Amino acid sequence: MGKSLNNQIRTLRFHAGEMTQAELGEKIGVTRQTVAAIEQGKYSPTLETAFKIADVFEVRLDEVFGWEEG
Amino acid sequence: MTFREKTRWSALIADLLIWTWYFSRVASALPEGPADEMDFLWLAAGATIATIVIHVAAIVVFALHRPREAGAGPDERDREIERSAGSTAHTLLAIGLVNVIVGSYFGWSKFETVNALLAVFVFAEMARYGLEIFAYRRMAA
Repeated sequence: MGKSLNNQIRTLRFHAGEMTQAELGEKIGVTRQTVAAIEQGKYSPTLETAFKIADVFEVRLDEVFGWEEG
Repeated sequence: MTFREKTRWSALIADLLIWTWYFSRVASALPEGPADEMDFLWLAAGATIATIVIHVAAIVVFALHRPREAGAGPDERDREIERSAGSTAHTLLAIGLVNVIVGSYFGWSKFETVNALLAVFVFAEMARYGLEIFAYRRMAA
Protein backbone atom coordinates (compact mmCIF):
# COMPACT_ATOMS: atom_id res chain seq x y z
CA MET A 1 0.00 0.00 0.00
CA GLY A 2 1.26 3.50 -0.83
CA LYS A 3 1.09 6.57 1.29
CA SER A 4 -1.98 8.76 1.32
CA LEU A 5 -3.17 12.03 2.77
CA ASN A 6 -5.22 11.76 5.95
CA ASN A 7 -6.62 14.43 8.21
CA GLN A 8 -7.92 15.17 11.69
CA ILE A 9 -10.62 17.65 10.66
CA ARG A 10 -13.49 15.68 12.22
CA THR A 11 -11.66 15.56 15.58
CA LEU A 12 -10.69 19.23 15.37
CA ARG A 13 -14.28 20.21 14.62
CA PHE A 14 -15.43 18.21 17.64
CA HIS A 15 -12.92 20.00 19.90
CA ALA A 16 -14.03 23.33 18.46
CA GLY A 17 -17.49 22.94 20.01
CA GLU A 18 -18.89 20.60 17.32
CA MET A 19 -18.25 23.15 14.60
CA THR A 20 -20.34 22.09 11.59
CA GLN A 21 -18.92 21.41 8.14
CA ALA A 22 -20.94 24.36 6.86
CA GLU A 23 -19.42 26.69 9.48
CA LEU A 24 -15.91 25.54 8.64
CA GLY A 25 -16.66 25.89 4.94
CA GLU A 26 -17.85 29.44 5.46
CA LYS A 27 -14.67 30.36 7.34
CA ILE A 28 -12.36 29.00 4.61
CA GLY A 29 -14.48 29.93 1.57
CA VAL A 30 -15.68 26.55 0.32
CA THR A 31 -19.01 24.71 0.34
CA ARG A 32 -20.11 22.24 3.02
CA GLN A 33 -19.81 19.48 0.41
CA THR A 34 -16.17 20.39 -0.25
CA VAL A 35 -15.39 20.23 3.49
CA ALA A 36 -17.10 16.81 3.60
CA ALA A 37 -15.05 15.61 0.62
CA ILE A 38 -11.79 16.84 2.23
CA GLU A 39 -12.71 15.26 5.57
CA GLN A 40 -13.37 11.88 3.94
CA GLY A 41 -10.18 12.01 1.89
CA LYS A 42 -12.07 12.16 -1.40
CA TYR A 43 -10.66 15.55 -2.35
CA SER A 44 -7.20 16.96 -1.59
CA PRO A 45 -7.40 20.69 -0.87
CA THR A 46 -5.00 23.28 -2.22
CA LEU A 47 -2.14 24.29 0.04
CA GLU A 48 -3.85 27.64 0.65
CA THR A 49 -7.05 25.97 1.88
CA ALA A 50 -5.06 23.52 3.98
CA PHE A 51 -3.36 26.48 5.73
CA LYS A 52 -6.74 28.19 6.17
CA ILE A 53 -8.12 25.07 7.90
CA ALA A 54 -5.13 24.93 10.24
CA ASP A 55 -5.59 28.64 10.91
CA VAL A 56 -9.26 28.20 11.87
CA PHE A 57 -8.36 25.58 14.49
CA GLU A 58 -5.18 27.48 15.51
CA VAL A 59 -2.95 24.43 15.02
CA ARG A 60 0.03 23.62 12.80
CA LEU A 61 -0.59 22.22 9.33
CA ASP A 62 0.87 18.82 10.30
CA GLU A 63 -1.65 18.58 13.13
CA VAL A 64 -4.44 18.70 10.55
CA PHE A 65 -2.97 16.71 7.68
CA GLY A 66 -0.72 13.68 7.68
CA TRP A 67 1.06 11.68 5.00
CA GLU A 68 0.93 8.04 6.10
CA GLU A 69 0.59 4.48 4.88
CA GLY A 70 -2.96 4.04 3.57
CA MET B 1 -26.09 18.10 -3.81
CA THR B 2 -24.49 21.49 -4.46
CA PHE B 3 -26.06 24.27 -6.51
CA ARG B 4 -23.48 23.68 -9.25
CA GLU B 5 -24.11 19.96 -9.46
CA LYS B 6 -27.86 20.57 -9.76
CA THR B 7 -27.29 22.99 -12.65
CA ARG B 8 -25.16 20.34 -14.41
CA TRP B 9 -27.87 17.71 -13.99
CA SER B 10 -30.54 20.02 -15.41
CA ALA B 11 -28.31 21.06 -18.31
CA LEU B 12 -27.44 17.45 -19.17
CA ILE B 13 -31.07 16.29 -19.05
CA ALA B 14 -32.27 19.29 -21.09
CA ASP B 15 -29.54 18.76 -23.71
CA LEU B 16 -30.25 15.03 -23.90
CA LEU B 17 -33.98 15.52 -24.45
CA ILE B 18 -33.81 18.46 -26.85
CA TRP B 19 -30.89 17.35 -28.97
CA THR B 20 -31.96 13.67 -29.11
CA TRP B 21 -35.25 14.93 -30.51
CA TYR B 22 -33.47 17.21 -33.02
CA PHE B 23 -30.96 14.61 -34.24
CA SER B 24 -33.65 11.94 -34.53
CA ARG B 25 -35.41 14.34 -36.94
CA VAL B 26 -32.14 14.78 -38.86
CA ALA B 27 -31.53 11.01 -38.95
CA SER B 28 -35.03 10.34 -40.29
CA ALA B 29 -34.59 13.03 -42.98
CA LEU B 30 -31.25 11.72 -44.30
CA PRO B 31 -32.54 8.61 -46.19
CA GLU B 32 -35.22 10.72 -47.90
CA GLY B 33 -32.70 12.60 -50.02
CA PRO B 34 -31.84 16.31 -49.83
CA ALA B 35 -33.52 17.86 -46.78
CA ASP B 36 -35.10 21.29 -46.64
CA GLU B 37 -32.14 23.09 -45.10
CA MET B 38 -34.16 26.14 -44.03
CA ASP B 39 -36.59 23.92 -42.10
CA PHE B 40 -33.71 22.35 -40.21
CA LEU B 41 -32.03 25.71 -39.67
CA TRP B 42 -35.16 26.91 -37.87
CA LEU B 43 -35.39 23.61 -36.02
CA ALA B 44 -31.78 23.93 -34.84
CA ALA B 45 -32.34 27.57 -33.86
CA GLY B 46 -35.44 26.57 -31.89
CA ALA B 47 -33.56 23.74 -30.16
CA THR B 48 -30.73 26.13 -29.26
CA ILE B 49 -33.12 28.72 -27.84
CA ALA B 50 -35.04 26.03 -25.90
CA THR B 51 -31.74 24.75 -24.47
CA ILE B 52 -30.69 28.24 -23.33
CA VAL B 53 -34.12 29.01 -21.84
CA ILE B 54 -34.18 25.74 -19.86
CA HIS B 55 -30.58 26.22 -18.66
CA VAL B 56 -31.32 29.77 -17.46
CA ALA B 57 -34.67 28.80 -15.89
CA ALA B 58 -33.04 25.93 -13.99
CA ILE B 59 -30.26 28.22 -12.72
CA VAL B 60 -32.83 30.78 -11.54
CA VAL B 61 -34.93 28.12 -9.75
CA PHE B 62 -31.89 26.56 -8.05
CA ALA B 63 -30.53 30.01 -7.15
CA LEU B 64 -33.83 30.90 -5.48
CA HIS B 65 -33.50 27.79 -3.29
CA ARG B 66 -29.80 28.36 -2.51
CA PRO B 67 -29.21 32.11 -2.95
CA ARG B 68 -26.02 32.24 -0.85
CA GLU B 69 -24.37 29.31 -2.63
CA ALA B 70 -25.41 30.64 -6.03
CA GLY B 71 -24.00 34.08 -5.25
CA ALA B 72 -20.75 32.75 -3.80
CA GLY B 73 -19.37 31.49 -7.10
CA PRO B 74 -17.39 28.29 -7.57
CA ASP B 75 -15.04 27.13 -4.85
CA GLU B 76 -11.69 25.43 -5.50
CA ARG B 77 -13.22 21.94 -5.85
CA ASP B 78 -15.78 23.26 -8.38
CA ARG B 79 -12.99 24.93 -10.37
CA GLU B 80 -10.90 21.73 -10.33
CA ILE B 81 -13.88 19.67 -11.52
CA GLU B 82 -14.68 22.22 -14.26
CA ARG B 83 -11.05 22.35 -15.41
CA SER B 84 -10.69 18.57 -15.56
CA ALA B 85 -14.03 17.95 -17.34
CA GLY B 86 -13.42 20.89 -19.68
CA SER B 87 -10.04 19.51 -20.68
CA THR B 88 -11.48 16.09 -21.62
CA ALA B 89 -14.44 17.69 -23.41
CA HIS B 90 -12.02 19.88 -25.36
CA THR B 91 -10.12 16.78 -26.52
CA LEU B 92 -13.39 15.12 -27.60
CA LEU B 93 -14.35 18.29 -29.45
CA ALA B 94 -11.02 18.35 -31.30
CA ILE B 95 -11.32 14.66 -32.28
CA GLY B 96 -14.89 15.25 -33.46
CA LEU B 97 -13.90 18.28 -35.52
CA VAL B 98 -11.11 16.35 -37.25
CA ASN B 99 -13.63 13.62 -38.12
CA VAL B 100 -16.03 16.19 -39.58
CA ILE B 101 -13.24 17.75 -41.63
CA VAL B 102 -12.30 14.31 -43.00
CA GLY B 103 -15.96 13.48 -43.65
CA SER B 104 -16.62 16.72 -45.52
CA TYR B 105 -13.48 16.13 -47.59
CA PHE B 106 -14.87 12.74 -48.66
CA GLY B 107 -18.11 14.14 -50.02
CA TRP B 108 -20.51 14.86 -47.16
CA SER B 109 -23.27 17.25 -48.17
CA LYS B 110 -23.54 20.71 -46.61
CA PHE B 111 -26.53 19.45 -44.58
CA GLU B 112 -24.59 16.46 -43.25
CA THR B 113 -21.49 18.53 -42.47
CA VAL B 114 -23.37 21.24 -40.59
CA ASN B 115 -25.33 18.71 -38.54
CA ALA B 116 -22.21 16.66 -37.84
CA LEU B 117 -20.53 19.86 -36.56
CA LEU B 118 -23.55 20.59 -34.39
CA ALA B 119 -23.54 17.01 -33.07
CA VAL B 120 -19.85 17.31 -32.16
CA PHE B 121 -20.45 20.54 -30.21
CA VAL B 122 -23.50 19.12 -28.43
CA PHE B 123 -21.76 15.84 -27.62
CA ALA B 124 -18.69 17.63 -26.23
CA GLU B 125 -20.91 19.81 -24.06
CA MET B 126 -22.90 16.84 -22.76
CA ALA B 127 -19.65 14.97 -22.09
CA ARG B 128 -18.47 17.96 -20.04
CA TYR B 129 -21.66 17.97 -17.96
CA GLY B 130 -21.51 14.20 -17.55
CA LEU B 131 -17.88 14.24 -16.41
CA GLU B 132 -18.59 17.06 -13.95
CA ILE B 133 -21.53 15.10 -12.49
CA PHE B 134 -19.38 11.96 -12.27
CA ALA B 135 -16.69 13.89 -10.37
CA TYR B 136 -19.26 15.43 -7.99
CA ARG B 137 -20.81 12.00 -7.30
CA ARG B 138 -17.38 10.37 -6.80
CA MET B 139 -16.51 12.96 -4.15
CA ALA B 140 -19.96 13.02 -2.57
CA ALA B 141 -20.39 12.02 1.04
